Amino acid sequence: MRVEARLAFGLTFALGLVSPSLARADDAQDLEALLDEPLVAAASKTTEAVSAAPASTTIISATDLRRYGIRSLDEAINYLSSGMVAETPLTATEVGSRGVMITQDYGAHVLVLIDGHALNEAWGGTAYFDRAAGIPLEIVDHIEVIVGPGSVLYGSNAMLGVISIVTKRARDYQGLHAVVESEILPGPVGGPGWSVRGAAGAGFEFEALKTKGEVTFEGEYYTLRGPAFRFGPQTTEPDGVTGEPRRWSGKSPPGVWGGVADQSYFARIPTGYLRVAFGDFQLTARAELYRRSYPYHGSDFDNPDDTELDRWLSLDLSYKRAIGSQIQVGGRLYGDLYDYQQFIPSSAAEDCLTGQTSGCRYDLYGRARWAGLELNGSFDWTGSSRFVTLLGADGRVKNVGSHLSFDDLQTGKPFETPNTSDVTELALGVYAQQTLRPVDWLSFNTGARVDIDQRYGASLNPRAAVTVSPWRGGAFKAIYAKAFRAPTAFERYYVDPTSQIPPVNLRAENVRSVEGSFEQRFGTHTFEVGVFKSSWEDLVLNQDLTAAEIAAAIARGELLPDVSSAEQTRNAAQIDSYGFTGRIEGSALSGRLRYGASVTRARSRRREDGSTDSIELGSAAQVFGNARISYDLSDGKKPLPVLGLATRFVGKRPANAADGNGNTARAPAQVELRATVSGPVPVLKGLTYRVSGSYAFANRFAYVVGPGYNTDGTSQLAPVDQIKIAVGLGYDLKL
Amino acid sequence: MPSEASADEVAVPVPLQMKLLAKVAGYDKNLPARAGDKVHVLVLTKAKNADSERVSSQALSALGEITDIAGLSVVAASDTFTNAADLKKAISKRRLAVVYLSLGFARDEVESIATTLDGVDILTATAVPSDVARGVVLGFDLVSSKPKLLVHLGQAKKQRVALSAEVLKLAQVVE
Repeated sequence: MRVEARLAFGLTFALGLVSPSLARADDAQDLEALLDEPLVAAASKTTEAVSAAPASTTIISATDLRRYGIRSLDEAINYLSSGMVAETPLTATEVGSRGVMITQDYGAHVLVLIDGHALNEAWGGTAYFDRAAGIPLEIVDHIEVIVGPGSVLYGSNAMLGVISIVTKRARDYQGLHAVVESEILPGPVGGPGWSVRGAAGAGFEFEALKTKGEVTFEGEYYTLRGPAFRFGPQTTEPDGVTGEPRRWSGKSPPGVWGGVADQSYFARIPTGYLRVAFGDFQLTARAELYRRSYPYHGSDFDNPDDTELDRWLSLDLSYKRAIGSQIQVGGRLYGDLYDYQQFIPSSAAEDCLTGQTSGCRYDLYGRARWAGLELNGSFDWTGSSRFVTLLGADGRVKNVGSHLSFDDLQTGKPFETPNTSDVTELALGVYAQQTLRPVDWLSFNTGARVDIDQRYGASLNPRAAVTVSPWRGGAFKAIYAKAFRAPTAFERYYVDPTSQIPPVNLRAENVRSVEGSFEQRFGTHTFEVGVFKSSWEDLVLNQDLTAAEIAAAIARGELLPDVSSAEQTRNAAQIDSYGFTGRIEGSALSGRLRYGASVTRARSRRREDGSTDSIELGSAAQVFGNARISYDLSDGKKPLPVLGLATRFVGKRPANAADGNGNTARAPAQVELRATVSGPVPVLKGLTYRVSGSYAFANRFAYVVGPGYNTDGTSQLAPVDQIKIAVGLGYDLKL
Repeated sequence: MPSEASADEVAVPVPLQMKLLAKVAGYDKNLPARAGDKVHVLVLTKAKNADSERVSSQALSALGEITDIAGLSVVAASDTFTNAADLKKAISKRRLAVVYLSLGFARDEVESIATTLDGVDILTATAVPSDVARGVVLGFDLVSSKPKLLVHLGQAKKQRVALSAEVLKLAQVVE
């Protein structure tokens, strides 16, 4: 026991002589505090207290997901996490952290794990955070949101952070379960939109061959029919090929984009997740199909045939066991199948290949198949968990491919383009981590990982962290970490003869960060402040080609002869960011009252290589946070409702297309409120309900829509589903 | 401890389990009478089970850092499990106050221990949450990332463990 703790104990003991009840109360508070401190596993692949982990971490519990009416991962990030923020502008969510958000990255800068299995696919690095995350929330035990670079143990993608979703053990999901939930989205024009989600699952334990086993499963189907929105009118340039006004749809005259979009905002997502544990083995399987369209996507206006489709199938078999009292070894064999299809119909000749004057359908297909084996072992030098070495290696083979065709709209005849790739690549990551806790009040965590990949070369990513706990409940933390993101197969191999030439010597993106924090726990209440600074290098961007570069590309046969503008993917920018975070959370009245709040303030700037000017990052909130409070009316005798009130806010931020060159569109600050009532249905045993309503005060996202400008010369920003009302019923049958 | 969980898992880190065990044992009204001047804790290990040895080693190390339980000094030792009858004899002979079951005990072994210790004055605890339902008085689970106490109230009464309402208020009671 450290000196401070002894002093505290001595003081408590002395007081106890005078007042035994006072000492007893103090002891009870100690016990309650021990039970209230969340544990995190993903930060160092070791279960440890959040205050001791080598990363800034927020734990989102299943209880809070239910209390605050959370229906997707992006909502959990916005309402319940600290340091991260999500934007869902009617389409795939984008996630930012500490003032940095990379738009149109399909989630590739955040590593998402489900029971230790990486969700980010190997073709485009895609991970989804909205309903398309494909994990029914009823089966989720908790979510670990780790902010900051995390490549030291996980390799690519963990630049903004790591989100680790941990599913429930069978004993916490015992029996049969079913949920039906519907959401009403009134919308600003026309009839309301709606969504329906149905899910069913089961969990049970068994014993066979004197070995314990368990199974958990949940399947879910989600369908969304979004509300109508009005866009435009935006006057556009004549077709670059025919010279005539472009016809965007029958809803507006030629040369004008816009109207009421009521056909093209939908999503359909069937998904399932299975976990089987038997002895030292664990098998997980996940399957998902995600088809959707959103109303300002692509080319022709409000065309419901303008769609995207993702399909996933993942398997993961892991094993662990001890060898003696000090050595533990483990392995993980995994394999994934993924493909992506994008269909963009266009009536404009300028979007199509030569000769397709009546229009075409852009048809992109990308796929990835990968399999790997991760082996690791830990050595507990003293047998006390105070001095532990972790070593691991993760080898992977990836096959990625794509093809692009432009199908003639009139004849249906496909025209294949040179964009056809089929590449098999090998990758290997080797990592080591050393934890050292010589005394209770001091701990170190150092480590590094080397990744070698045929696509981009090698990357070394170290981390060093020290935690000092000078008094009871207090912890100072200092962390240095580096992370990287490998260029995706899409970035590396995508070409389009109408608009994009192949990259040259594309390198991995890198980020380095230093941070410091102080956390103080008072019983079941926690207060934390922190500061951070991060530097990003070799950011991958699509850059416009100069006229000379276009001419050279045409001469090389990489672009069609009539192309006048085109892009190339390059390592072309840096980002510098710094700021602070603050967080409080806690519970009282034996957990019936829970509260929390967080705020992040950052200053982030992007500078393109060769330029001295720095600009703000599009869509990236520089100030954001949340606050929440909930109260369980149950007194332990009869079940009563739980009331939850949550709010989140983001400050003004530039739109994604704001570039410092004249386009200065900014989104207004946003405040969202959500009230939720949940609890058991009286009389009917096993039946539960949840009702929530939310309102967003601002009606625009920080995303520019449409091909042109409003009649007043301003950019139009994507609309917000301002009102959401959700009603759900659940049934749990204990077996 | 790795983050991936298997069926027979130690949900809560062992050092934290020992801290919780020490706190909870302090709320057992019968502990002073049972323990005398020292709280003897036996960590029970499963023979030829490396996982069990690892947990035992961590438990002993963590108990070595706990100076007292309810003001009484702590003496911790480990032993290999043979059968429930031998355990019952050891409890009496060594005046044990707490027995902590490490990992790797089969269902029938746990149930046999529970049956044999009916009427014996002893606090039993386990590293494996599912063993509580089989008759261990105290266990530790991890629910939504937070430690949770599991108390088998019926078995507690049989083993003359009288935990105060303050603890039971914080625990999940298993019957």
